[in-house]
Amino acid sequence: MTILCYGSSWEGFLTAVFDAYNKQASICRSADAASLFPSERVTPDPIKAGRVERGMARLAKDLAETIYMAWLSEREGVEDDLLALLRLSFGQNRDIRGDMRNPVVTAVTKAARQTGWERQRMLQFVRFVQTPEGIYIADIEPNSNVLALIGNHFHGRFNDQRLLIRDLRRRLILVSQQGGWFIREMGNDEKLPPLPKDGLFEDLWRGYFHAVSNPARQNLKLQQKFVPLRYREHLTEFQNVNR
Amino acid sequence: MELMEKLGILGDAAKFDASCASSGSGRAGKPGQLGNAFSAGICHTWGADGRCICLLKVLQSNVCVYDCQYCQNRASNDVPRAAFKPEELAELTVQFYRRNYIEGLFLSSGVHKNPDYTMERMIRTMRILREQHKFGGYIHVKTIPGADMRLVNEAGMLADRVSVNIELPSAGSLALLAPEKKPDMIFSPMKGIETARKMALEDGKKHRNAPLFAPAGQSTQMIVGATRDTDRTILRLSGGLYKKFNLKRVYFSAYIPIGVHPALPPRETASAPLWREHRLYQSDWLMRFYSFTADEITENGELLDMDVDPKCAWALRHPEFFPVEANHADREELLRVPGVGMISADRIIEARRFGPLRPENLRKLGVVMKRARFFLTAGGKYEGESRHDHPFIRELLTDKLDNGQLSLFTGGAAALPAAPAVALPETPSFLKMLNA
Ligand code: SF4
Repeated sequence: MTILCYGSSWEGFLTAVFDAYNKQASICRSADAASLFPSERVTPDPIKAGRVERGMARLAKDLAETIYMAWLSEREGVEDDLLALLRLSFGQNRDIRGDMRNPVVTAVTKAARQTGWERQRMLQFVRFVQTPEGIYIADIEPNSNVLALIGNHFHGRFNDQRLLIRDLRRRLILVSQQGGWFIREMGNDEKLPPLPKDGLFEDLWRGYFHAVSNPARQNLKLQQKFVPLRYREHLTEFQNVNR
Repeated sequence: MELMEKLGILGDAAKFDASCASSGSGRAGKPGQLGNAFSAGICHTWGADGRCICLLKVLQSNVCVYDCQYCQNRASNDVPRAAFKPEELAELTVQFYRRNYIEGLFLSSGVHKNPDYTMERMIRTMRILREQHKFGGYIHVKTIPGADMRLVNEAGMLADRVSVNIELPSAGSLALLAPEKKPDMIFSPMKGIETARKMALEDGKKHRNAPLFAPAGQSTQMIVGATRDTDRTILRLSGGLYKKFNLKRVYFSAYIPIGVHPALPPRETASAPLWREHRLYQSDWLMRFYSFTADEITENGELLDMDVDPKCAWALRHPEFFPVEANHADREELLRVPGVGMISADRIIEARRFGPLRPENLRKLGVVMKRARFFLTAGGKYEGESRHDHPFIRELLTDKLDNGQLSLFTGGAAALPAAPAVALPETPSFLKMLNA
């Protein structure tokens, strides 16, 4: 068995699917030094990637979207699940996503749903702080790589604001300003300037947040179900000290 | 007064309103306009009481000339009072919105001076938001009972959702506890709003730029457990309102003892009937999405079963309907099975096209087998217990509570507050008035 390492791009992943299709192979982002199997580097190839994409589109219009969402989850082993799903689908020449009796289908559905959830959570939990220059900045550390999935939402909603959303985990920055949005990778030694200090509205928001909770109905467990602890570091209303 | 203090008072005073949905309005952002409305709604955070916060929910003013006994803002109650200036509140909303704290504003108010004056202040706030700040986010406004219909209409042109709260589920309770409010002050604006909304929809079909009127519809709220109105009364009235006025939502709010009126549950003994509120929401959900009727849900009596959820309760009462076979039941039948939801029903229907389903597949499809196994077979296989007598299954389906506050409740049926020290006046039911 060979291990195909494709790096981090979607195109690289599709190329790896193409290369792996007819052989015993496993796909991953980067080589694991401890692995028993030989590994090969895959160079992204637009022609191979395009063939896989067209193959998916032939089976169902939105199949590529499911695959993409699942891939963005960055779950361990998701690449191999996706490869298995594509082999089955191309082999049977039909869209098998509805066949939840199949464990590969359930694994991919789960991964895609994780990304969908994480996207939704970011729509909920991104919190901007305003810099003295009037730029709005937010930091996030999502489980799935959802930055590309939230650009339209934030750009459309705050189209008169200059925004930066920084994915600290992946060192990616979403930049939204008049005219459009894009994502850029941070340079290797690029330092992140710290977020600006809180102002009046951060304090007002925290004050409001505490005032509206009804003490007669306190239910912290329920609260934690909806706002898991791992998001709270970046949530204004859960911070109680000034940065 | 400091803005912080004001916000504290006016946020606190609004917290008894249960509704916080921001759904139902889909509006794309426009260049040069701030904000959009996201049709599925977005909850931005959850408070320590586990309730979602998606709108800045405040009162324009908590000064009130009325004296509704169940309300902490009533004139006779000694609480700190405050009022927002329209400019101030609009600015606050925009600043919160820009930081992605909220989807928009939920604006309500005590009756400051008189209903019309109050509505005018609220309209002013909305106007500043929409016109000066070009605010395209969500606005939910609660109309003030007794305000001129012209003002209600004006509010509807500015807001996404309009609500008129019923508060008490029967005319008798209303007469007793909120004597200044007459049923007509509630139902005629509801009717007016529905008419205006329908007209705007019709116009919208003819001209693309016709003005919208409360595009996210209207909702209402009822307080549960302040009076002796039963679950059946409440659910039938909800059913009637959904039908008659096309309401988007009916909210329930468990009464938190604050009043001292002889007809109210006494402060010391009563705890908020949260469990009852929960069962009512479950029932409401069944009515809206699972085609249950209020009569089906309450066929067993005036009060809901508190031990098991209303869907399980119905299933236990209807052994003749079960078991349902996952491999060929239609959607309607699947939806009657406890533990099968809308998503899992659709997945069952989708997955069985690929081949027969076995019991072990069902769990993967999202079916909650803990409940469903008593009512569902797959390929003829039944995974329930070998005993299937009613008390035994019922016991297994009983909600076991680990949450301290909900376990305040014990016993099989909902408890109504003790009979009031004063007699309820004889009045026709709201449902009758609706259908008259
Ligand atoms: S009119 Fe509204 S705010 Fe005033 S006492 Fe009655 S319920 Fe409370």
